[in-house]
Amino acid sequence: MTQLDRAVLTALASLPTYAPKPTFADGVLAQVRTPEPMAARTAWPRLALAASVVVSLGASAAWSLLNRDQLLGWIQSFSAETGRTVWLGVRVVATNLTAQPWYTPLREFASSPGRLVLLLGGSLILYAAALVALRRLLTPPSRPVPHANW
Amino acid sequence: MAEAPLPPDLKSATDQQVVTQARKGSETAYRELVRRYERPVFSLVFRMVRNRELAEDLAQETFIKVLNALDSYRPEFKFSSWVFKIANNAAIDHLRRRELDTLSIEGSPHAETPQMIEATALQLGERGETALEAVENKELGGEIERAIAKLRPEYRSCILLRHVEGRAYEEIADILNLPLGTVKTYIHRARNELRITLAHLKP
Repeated sequence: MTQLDRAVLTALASLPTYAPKPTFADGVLAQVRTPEPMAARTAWPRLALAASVVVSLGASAAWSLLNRDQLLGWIQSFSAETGRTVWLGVRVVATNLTAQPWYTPLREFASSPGRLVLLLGGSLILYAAALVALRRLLTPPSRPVPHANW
Repeated sequence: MAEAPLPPDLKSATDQQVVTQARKGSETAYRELVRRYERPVFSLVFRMVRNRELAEDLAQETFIKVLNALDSYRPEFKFSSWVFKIANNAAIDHLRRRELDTLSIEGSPHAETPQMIEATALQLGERGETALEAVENKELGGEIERAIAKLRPEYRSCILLRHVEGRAYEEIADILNLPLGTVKTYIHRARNELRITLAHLKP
């Protein structure tokens, strides 16, 4: 680097910074929409939410006490129907599974404990590899992407 | 992720902490952000457009944009980069709108007659000189200010951000939305042009 280069770089680094008018900040802030302070901004919605939760809970408890038999009937009917639906779903899935062409060979392969362990281990490794691959796919690029398109 | 505790004195807080406070509606935090960046932003814009009033307007416009858009600021980016990006874009947009007339020391590139060239040329050292022009009249500092003014706006942004503001190449690339290689080339060329312009100062 020549003496002139050095002198230019030194002079560039020592160039003064300039200040705007003393009223600059006031001028800026006069034209900025300052949000309401957080406490004032969030007080009303929070209070309204809390009040509605308390009122709902109270109304619900009162109605339940006054209509106990009807409520029990609904719960029993709902739980019986849910149980039937879940059991039916399990049976459908199991039937479909056993009807698959690969099911019998797989069951025969896994009939000995050693091979069962091998199968489980292989499945776990495959699952972990799939997770790693998915994570790589979903990771955003490491280089920051400029975002202010003003 | 948990926020870092805010120092009792806002002046020693990081930009991110001050921005968080500003988003919560603290006017002190808004004022602190302006205090931190008013000088560097104004200096950059002033050296780009070379007119104090205009630079004040553009710097003000920059801060209004920044502060009104604080909710869209993403903390994974440097706040200073964001501010400089907006300031530089404001200056460049202005120069483009004015088709470089404001800046051309030799006069407008569209001037067709010697009278028009003279009318549109920037008069350095005239009466009623600005602060910038006053500095220009001092030896090397002044020569450099004049030499910077002759650079293309893109080169000028790069050289000012690198050697006056001390920003890293990668940050300049982010600020100017340019590839890193282009930034390095611009800075290299700008230095070459400065060296040529200032060659007469060689001892």
